[in-house]
Amino acid sequence: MGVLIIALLLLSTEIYVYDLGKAVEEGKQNSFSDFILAVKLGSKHAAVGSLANVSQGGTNQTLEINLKEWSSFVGGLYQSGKCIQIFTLREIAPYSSGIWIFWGINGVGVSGAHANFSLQLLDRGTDVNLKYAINITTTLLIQGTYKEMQGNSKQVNVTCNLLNEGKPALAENLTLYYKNLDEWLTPSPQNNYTIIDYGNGTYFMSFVADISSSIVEVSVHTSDQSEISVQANVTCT
Amino acid sequence: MLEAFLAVLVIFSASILSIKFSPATDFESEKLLSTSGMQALIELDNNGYLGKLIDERNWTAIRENLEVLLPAGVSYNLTVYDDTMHQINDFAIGNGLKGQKVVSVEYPCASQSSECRFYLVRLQLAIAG
Repeated sequence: MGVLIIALLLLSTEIYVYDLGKAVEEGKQNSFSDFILAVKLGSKHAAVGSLANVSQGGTNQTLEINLKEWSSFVGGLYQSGKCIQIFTLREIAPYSSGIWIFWGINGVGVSGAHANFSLQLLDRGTDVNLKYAINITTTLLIQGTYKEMQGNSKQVNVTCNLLNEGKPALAENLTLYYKNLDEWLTPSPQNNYTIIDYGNGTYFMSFVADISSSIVEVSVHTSDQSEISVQANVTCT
Repeated sequence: MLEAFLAVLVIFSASILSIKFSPATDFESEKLLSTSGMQALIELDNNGYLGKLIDERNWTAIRENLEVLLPAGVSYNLTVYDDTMHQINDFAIGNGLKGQKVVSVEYPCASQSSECRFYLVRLQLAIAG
C-alpha cells in the first residue's frame, strides 16, 4: 500500500511538471509571435527606406539589395532555431523590381514598393511558415484652376492631397512650381503666394503671376514623413 | 504482487514523463518580463521611430520612451549593435539593472532612412528590488 502511495505522489509531481512544460510551450509561442512581428516591422521599414532612396534618385535595385541584407541579418539572429526569410519583388506592371514610380502630368503622382515574403521559423519540434506582403504607396493628387486678371496676370489656385496607403498623410517640403515661357518658376511672396495646411494631408496654394500662355501648368514636389518623394503635374483649368 | 506491479508501472510512466518535460522555474515572471520588453520595443518601433532615434544616436530619447513604455518597478539596460555586431551606444541606456533574475530580449530593427541601416537591440530586464 505504501509503495502505491509513494508512486501516486511521484505521478502527481510529474503532472505538475507536465503543466509547467505546457507553460514553456506557450512562452515559446509568444517569443515566436514577437520575433515574427519584429521581422515583419523591419521588412516594412526596409521597404520604406528603400522606396525613399529610389524616389530621391536611387536605383530600383536598392529595394532588392536592402531586403536581401535584412533577410540575411534576421536569419542569423534567431538563437533558438533557424529563421529563413525569402522574398519576391512585384514584377507585374506598373511595378518593376518591386518599385512603381509614376509622376504624371494628369495630377497624379505615385511612389510605391511591393514585395511578398515567406518567413519560416524552425525550432525544436516547431515549424512556423508565414507568408505576408508589404505594399507601400505614397500618392499625390493635385488639382489646379486659374483666373485671368489684367494682361498676362493670372491667379492660380492649387489643391493637393497626400496619401499613404490611401490614407491622408502629412507632407514635408511642399514646393509648387508654375511654367512660364518653358521655364519652371517658384512663386514668391511677391506673387502673393499663400499656402494653407488643413492638417489632414490637404494643402491649398494660391499665387498671382504673369503667365504668357493660356495653358497654365503647375507642378508640386513633396515628400511624406518617411522621406518618400513624390511629384505630380497638372494643367490648370 | 499486483500492487507492486502497479507501483512499478506508475513509477516507470512518471520517469518517462520527467524525461520528456524538463522543469521550468519561475517561468511566469520571466515570461512577463520578456513580453513587456518586447512589446515596449515593438511599440517604439511601430512607425519607425526606434530606428530613427538610433540613426540619430539619440540615446536620451530612447531611455525616456522606454521609461514610459516599460512597467513600473522594472529595471533595464539597453545595448544597440550595428549590423556587424559592434556596440554603438557610447553610454549606458537604462536605469541601472538590478534584480536577482535578469532576462534578455533581442529585437532586430531596420531604420526607415534612405540609407536603410539595420540594428540589433538587446534589452536586459529585471524586477527591481
